[in-house]
Amino acid sequence: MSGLQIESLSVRYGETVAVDAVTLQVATGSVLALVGPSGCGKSTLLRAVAGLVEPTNGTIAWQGEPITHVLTHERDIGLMFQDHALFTHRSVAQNIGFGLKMAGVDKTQRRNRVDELLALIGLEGFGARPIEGLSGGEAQRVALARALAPEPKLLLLDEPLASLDRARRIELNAELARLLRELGQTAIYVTHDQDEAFAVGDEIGVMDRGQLLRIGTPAEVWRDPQAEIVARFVGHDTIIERKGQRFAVRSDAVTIAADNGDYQGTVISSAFQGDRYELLIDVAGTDWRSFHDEAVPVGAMVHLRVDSERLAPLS
Amino acid sequence: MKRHRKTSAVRAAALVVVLSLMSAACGGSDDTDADATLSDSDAPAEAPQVGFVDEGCPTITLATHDSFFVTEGLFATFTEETCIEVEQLAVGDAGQLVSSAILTKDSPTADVLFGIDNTFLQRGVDADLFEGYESPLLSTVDPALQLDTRLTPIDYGDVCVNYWTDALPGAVPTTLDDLIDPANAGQFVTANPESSSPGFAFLLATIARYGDDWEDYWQSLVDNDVAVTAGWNDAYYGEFIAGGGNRSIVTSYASSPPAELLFADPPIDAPPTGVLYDSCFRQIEFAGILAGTEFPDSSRQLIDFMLSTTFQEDIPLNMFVYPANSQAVLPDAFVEFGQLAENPASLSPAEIEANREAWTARWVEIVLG
Amino acid sequence: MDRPVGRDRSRLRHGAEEDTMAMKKLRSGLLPVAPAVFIALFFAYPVGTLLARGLGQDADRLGAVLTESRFLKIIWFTGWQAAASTLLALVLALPLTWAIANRRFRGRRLARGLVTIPFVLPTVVVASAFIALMDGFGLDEGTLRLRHTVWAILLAHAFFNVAVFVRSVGGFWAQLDRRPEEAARTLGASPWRTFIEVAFPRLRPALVAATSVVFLFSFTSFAIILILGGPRRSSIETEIFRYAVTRTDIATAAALSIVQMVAVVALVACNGWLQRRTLSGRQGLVADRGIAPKRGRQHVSLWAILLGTSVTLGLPLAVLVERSLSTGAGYSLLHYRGLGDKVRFLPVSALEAVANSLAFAVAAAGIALIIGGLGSVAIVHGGKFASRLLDLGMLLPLGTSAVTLGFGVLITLDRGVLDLRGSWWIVPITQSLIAIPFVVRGVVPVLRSIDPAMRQAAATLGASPRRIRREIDLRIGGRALATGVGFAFAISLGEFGATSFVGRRPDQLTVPLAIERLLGQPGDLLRGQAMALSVILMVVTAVVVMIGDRLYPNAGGML
Repeated sequence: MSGLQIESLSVRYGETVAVDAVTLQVATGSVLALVGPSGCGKSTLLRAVAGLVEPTNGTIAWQGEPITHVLTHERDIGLMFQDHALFTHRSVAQNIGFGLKMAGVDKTQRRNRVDELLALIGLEGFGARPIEGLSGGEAQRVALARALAPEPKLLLLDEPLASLDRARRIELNAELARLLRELGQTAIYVTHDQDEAFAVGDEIGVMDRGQLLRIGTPAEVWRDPQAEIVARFVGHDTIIERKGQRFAVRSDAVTIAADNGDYQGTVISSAFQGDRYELLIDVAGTDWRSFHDEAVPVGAMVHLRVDSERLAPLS
Repeated sequence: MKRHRKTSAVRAAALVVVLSLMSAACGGSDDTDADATLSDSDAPAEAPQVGFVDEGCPTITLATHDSFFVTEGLFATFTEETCIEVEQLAVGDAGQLVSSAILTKDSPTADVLFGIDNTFLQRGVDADLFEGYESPLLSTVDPALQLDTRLTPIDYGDVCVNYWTDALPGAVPTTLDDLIDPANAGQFVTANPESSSPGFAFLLATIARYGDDWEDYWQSLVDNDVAVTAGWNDAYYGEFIAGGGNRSIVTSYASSPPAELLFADPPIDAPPTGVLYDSCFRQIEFAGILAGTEFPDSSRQLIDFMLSTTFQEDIPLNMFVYPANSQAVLPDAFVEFGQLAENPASLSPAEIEANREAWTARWVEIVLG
Repeated sequence: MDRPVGRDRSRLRHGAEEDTMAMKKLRSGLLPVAPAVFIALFFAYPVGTLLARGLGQDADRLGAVLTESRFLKIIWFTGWQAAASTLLALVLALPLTWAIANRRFRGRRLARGLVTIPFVLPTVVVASAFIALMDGFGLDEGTLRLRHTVWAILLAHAFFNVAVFVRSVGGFWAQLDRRPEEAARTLGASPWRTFIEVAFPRLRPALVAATSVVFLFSFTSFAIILILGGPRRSSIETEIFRYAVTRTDIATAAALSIVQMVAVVALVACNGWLQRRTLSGRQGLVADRGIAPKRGRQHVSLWAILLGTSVTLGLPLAVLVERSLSTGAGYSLLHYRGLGDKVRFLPVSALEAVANSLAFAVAAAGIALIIGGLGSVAIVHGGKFASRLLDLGMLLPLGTSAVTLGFGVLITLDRGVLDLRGSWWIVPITQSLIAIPFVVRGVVPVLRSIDPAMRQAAATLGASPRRIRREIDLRIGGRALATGVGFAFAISLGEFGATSFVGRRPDQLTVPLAIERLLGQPGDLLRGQAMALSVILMVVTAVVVMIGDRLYPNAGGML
């Protein structure tokens, strides 16, 4: 078995169950994006993997070897925090080189690696700077470099971009995704932002209230969310009920029919998207989304055909 | 280091003599005209007039050390009869008291000072701290106590070597020479004269007794394994039997045995300690009017009160010393167990002040060197 | 708290500044006024006058003090025993400090309260307890004779001062964001290396501050050195007493006082250099650090820590308690019952003395709160020169002899409005002078360490600078302030020197003075009562400190 295997992992704090019997795998060299609303337990799961929190049940293994009870500093698993958690009493270079120093790497080699990483994150020459003067984006990059420096077998990123503003976030997100891919780094990337998750993850995992509801490739999860929360998370806003079974209506499930269809509704809005139009249709009080080649005037009544193949059943 | 004082119950009855004198002097005083019929500049050689000087009903301050204590209400009776209010100010130990008085000479904190003893007397006199006053009640005081006309002796006590009778290795010591007897090796503990008043008094006793040979005496004490502590407390309660220590002989006070009896737990019939009278050094405490006081006459009245039997009889059980007024009646415990030395050692205040530093420096060399 | 507005340009990161530069200058100029006036009036003026008078009498004494070998030996001894005491106190305190900061256990509050007890005990009592302890353990015979050795002094000093480290460093540590340490762990640092490389350096501001206070305390210690050190050992403080009181030689006393103060200045300079040398920056203080991750064997070490510390600190206290209960007829509350009566020997009953002490302590703590609080904010937000000066000024009283202070007060505060001699207020005022440095040294590192990101975040959420100060500075700094004020209270309760020197009315007798008097007299009953009174003092302190901890609004069940 290659990569990370988590089997039925639970973390309990007294009465509260933060992580509830989670089972997942992350193949070597791939990135798992873990998403979910705040408080869903994704950060706790990450900390358990890092060894900062002791799990109440379950096992964690790497390449088949169990590491559940291995101490944090022996796990060789890196962690990048939300607001960098840099050592403010050390310089940029000292921060980045810290892991190497702990591993006993000699000074010259350390310096070279640090320079390498500084170049990688685009902060050449920042080595001697104190942490205090760095901007948010710069600090996060340093935090990333610090986590990457000792070449950990697994890198955990805990909402690394959450403390940045939107423009910075988008920019860094792209960089991060590229970097991780280039380095072939196995990683778990935690975020509450769906777009970030899709951009970075080879696989997506959706958590809610401690439970892992769905895991799969972005396409798999989009096509077959299985849980309502997951469906909403990936953008399927419309849920319908048929014969007692709830379905998420994928945007590719609904087409405008020339004449009679399953449903009827009024067009509320129409947005031009270059090769098609995105329409929002009011069907008996619910807003449905559909795409159409041609423009449809707002207020017009349309018939909608639903492709049952493209309805995602929800449990 | 501190001396111990004790106060006891008030006996209101004996006011009459002194207070009637005072009430005659004071009378109805709405008149705020402080006319000085008594000169307040020089110290008269003969008894001063008990004239009527109206200072109103002032409040005068009595500065004392922390070990001063009188029964509650004692000064109230003074106020009743003289309408003079007395405020007290306690300033550390005797040394602190005298030093602070000298320091604040130009702007005194009090009108009357009580607690300067014969070892500091010369220092206070040399610094011109006091306005002289000779109270008429001095006639009741033993002339041996009247060391200086400017100051009024109020009480006295003896610093003496005490021994724990049952713990003595041999015979009861009766002279200073017994302390250097090898039979009593390792039994004696005393306090550093630099930091302890009784310790200093004992040193003075040996100097008074042995004269120039005092250094040899102390060398013999050292050879006899004398222990030295910083203060009375750690001697008495540290090394001495009373506090669980090993030594049976200690420098303390003549009034310590009665105190041991009075405060014994469980109660006992006789004190466990005895006094080595040959080692006693007399300490006398004085009161004086501070120069520059606004209320010289009221201050004099206070001094007179402090020599009155009312006040004097309050002293023994509250401060554990003896009243200077020979007419004051002593409590039973004192009579039975607190004999005073008949021939205590003493040195003149001038001699003490002149040689203090040299003697203590020499002592340090011999004993601690 | 007040509205400090920073003039320090490097920290101008806040959101919209609603004040004009002029107003800001005015406010930050006004801020240090109250503390500066207080220190000037009640410390600089009295002490300065005394020193001037002393040296005016004989300026050569200063030269003598600095050149004669006897004095130099004493100065050297004072210095190194203070340093050694500080080190020992730190070592003894570290385990419990760690536990307080990193663990939640039942009785944590109790532990914090109890550890303050040694701090409040009058030094005479502590010396007696140690002597009794040494006797009891046979450390009085032969080679193991501890009495009158330096070790007795060091141990007693350490005993006293453990509380300073546990509470101030512990409190600071408990608010230190844990994540850098977690980051270090993920980067391969073992728990020990994490401590050395990350936690300890981040603790430095609080450590340095606490160390300087403990050093000064040990440097100016009087009764411990006198009694436990025995007649052969003197410190600068005991010598000042000797010269000023026994010989009325103010000139030499003044010269020695100056030497003491030079030590303080040197210490502050050293302090500043140490703080600047490190890139300590913002430590990222948070409201609560949370618990260290639990690993099985760490449960054991927690109990070992608690047990070890209880024994070390508890033994002398246990001796006192035992002594207070032992009577001629076995163990009983005889001595305690006696405290309610007027002992024929104290001007007030023991209970009244307790009430006096409490009243003084409340006043002294209040003064320390206001002056110390304002001063701390002024130091953190003021200009460089002004804040260094104020910092030094507030620390100096701790390094000044009680003799100098007391006598200084006696010769200066004697006119008109300022004639405070013999007044009730002079006692808490002089006591607060010694307590204020504890407040300042505890609060300043905390205020300096508040993560600017927090302030920025608040600003972006629409909080005005004033609001930010209140919400963030006050909440996070407030805990340190409360700890400091707690210290001030404890110091006042156990204070002896200054109280003795400034003089007071007999009915204002405080507990330490009462104990001293009771111990100055032969008699088992009196000694028993002195012990009982000491125990009462211990209990009162612990209770007050714990109530204070509880009363302070706890956001989320922390210390």
